[in-house]
Amino acid sequence: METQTSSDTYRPTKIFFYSSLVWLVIGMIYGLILAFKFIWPNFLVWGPLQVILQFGRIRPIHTNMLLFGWLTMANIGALFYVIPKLCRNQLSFPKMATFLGYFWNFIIVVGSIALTMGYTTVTEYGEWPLWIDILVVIGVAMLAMICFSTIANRNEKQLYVSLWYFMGSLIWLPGLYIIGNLPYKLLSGVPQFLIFWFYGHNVIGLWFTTVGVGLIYYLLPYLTKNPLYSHRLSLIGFWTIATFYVWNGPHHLQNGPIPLWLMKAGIIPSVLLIIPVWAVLANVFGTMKGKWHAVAHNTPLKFLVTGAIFYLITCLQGPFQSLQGPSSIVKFTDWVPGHAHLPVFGAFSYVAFSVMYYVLPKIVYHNIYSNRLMETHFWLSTIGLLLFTFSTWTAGVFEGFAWIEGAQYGLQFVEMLTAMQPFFWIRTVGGTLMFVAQIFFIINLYKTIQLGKKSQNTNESSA
Amino acid sequence: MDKDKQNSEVNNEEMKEQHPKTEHGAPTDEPPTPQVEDMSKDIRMGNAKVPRFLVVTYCLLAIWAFGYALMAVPLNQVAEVAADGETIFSQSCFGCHNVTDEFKVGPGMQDVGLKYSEEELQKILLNGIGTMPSLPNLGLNTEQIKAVKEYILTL
Ligand code: HEC
Repeated sequence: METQTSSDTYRPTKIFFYSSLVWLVIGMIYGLILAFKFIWPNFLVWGPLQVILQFGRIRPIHTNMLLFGWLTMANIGALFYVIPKLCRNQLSFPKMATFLGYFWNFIIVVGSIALTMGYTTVTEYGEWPLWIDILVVIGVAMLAMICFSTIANRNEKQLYVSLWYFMGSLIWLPGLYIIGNLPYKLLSGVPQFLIFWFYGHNVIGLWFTTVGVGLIYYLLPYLTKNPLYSHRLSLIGFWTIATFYVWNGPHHLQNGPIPLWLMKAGIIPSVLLIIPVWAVLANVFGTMKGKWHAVAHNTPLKFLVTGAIFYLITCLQGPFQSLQGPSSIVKFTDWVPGHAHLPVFGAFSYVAFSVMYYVLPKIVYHNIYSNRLMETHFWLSTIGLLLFTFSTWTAGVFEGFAWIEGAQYGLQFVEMLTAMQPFFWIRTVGGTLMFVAQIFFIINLYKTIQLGKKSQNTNESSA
Repeated sequence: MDKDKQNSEVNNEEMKEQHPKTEHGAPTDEPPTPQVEDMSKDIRMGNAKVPRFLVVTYCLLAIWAFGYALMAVPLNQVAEVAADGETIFSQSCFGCHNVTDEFKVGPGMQDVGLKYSEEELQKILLNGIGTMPSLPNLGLNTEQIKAVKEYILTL
């Protein structure tokens, strides 16, 4: 069709965006099953399902699908849109970018199948078997090549700060991924877990966070129509996050069998991460100055600012949890999933929602179908997330103290878990709200895409 | 600035690329809900100084970091729980066991070390035996189990 060619420049972005939405739904369904299993351990234990939907198998499916299917694909789609805009050119290797879209989906499919069949490397967030890791590295290499080549051929002299963040992320991700997925074969014992956690924390910090912050810096000036508050602050943020983040791994083995100096080497940079985080937030608030009223009726901006605030909360919790005392309480409890959902759902999925609401109209040439649906998406997500996180945090604190007092064994342990039922219920309700919110999100985008197609067609025929 | 010139060139290019049918009654009052608009507007960058409170925070963090690096000591909460074999025995076992060979609810503990090897004993304590509950179920942790095992071996 003729119409296809005019939108072709955005084809890679579209593939990545649309597929990410599919993984968002499937991944969240897995999450809901997990939540229900906390209430009824025998939920869906029926025939072959009791193997396929075993807790230990679907937990990594849930995390990998949402981290690499949803958020990573949404991020890549955004990179493919934003980088050319900032460079005032077209995406390099568009064919390869399109191929990468299909290739990435293939990775998620085979990865999920492998996990369903019980193959795992037990590396958190890197559970996929080694041969799939190789595909991921190839995919990331393609991604880096496309993006760097686009940036190298730019028509704009200045490198806007978002591009710094993107380039950093694209250098770090392949390194992290390779380092993180090898010790499964090469190391054992404590060193293995040190590397696992190096990977586990940095894939959040040097990929999702840095791309997310780059996107915040891109969207905020557009959505507020204000200049970015301070270039200098954004650079301080960039260089300090690059310096401190890689040290974060050992704080996951706090009070564990690692030497004291290593614990300190994990704790101190974790706390110093307050520097880049507050730099970002100061920049966000500085840019928002005089435009706060806009948040009320601009849902994408609302998502963006709320995402930034969730980022702040996450990164106040993070340094706190890394300290020995708090860590000895909250470690191994339900606190942790609460904390983990805050950045990946609260902060950076919100940024991704904002990006999609902002970018989609520009690539399908139609305004978002319904503001009401956008608002519903926002409020259900936010209420759901708050129920989820506060219930897990509360349960986690109870569990932590009970376990220090010896309830980590036998009957007392079971009694403790039974006593946590009300919190598991709240978590499930919160999770359901979060899920329903995404259904509204997707319906809204689907309608927008359909309307965009229709108006393009009528336009074409009348011309 | 020549950047502006560059801008307008790109504008033209993007205008061409843009689909004509773009107006979809988005509210005109600023700032608008997302609408199809051209991307030509440059992102402007301010150059505000680093706010004072951030500078202060950064300094405090640096001081804290040095202090922590020098002074922090490991934390050992396990040690805070009583791990003294005799105390544990009198609290958790004495209701059912004598320290002599007299039978109470269960057999007396005297010479239990002759009856069982340490490994067998460990198994009994961890899993319980007959009607006796396992020690984890009695709320004892690994350290405490070890302590009480060592204690009954001396009887
Ligand atoms: C509720 C009562 C009860 C308590 C409390 C209890 N036991 Fe026992 N224990 C028994 C009974 C009954 C048996 C005998 C079980 C059998 O042989 O069927 C037994 C058996 C044993 C034996 C094996 C003795 C043998 O000669 O076969 C050991 C060792 C022992 N208990 C250690 C302990 C220790 C140590 C504690 C405290 C931490 C403890 N028990 C607390 C009831 C108790």
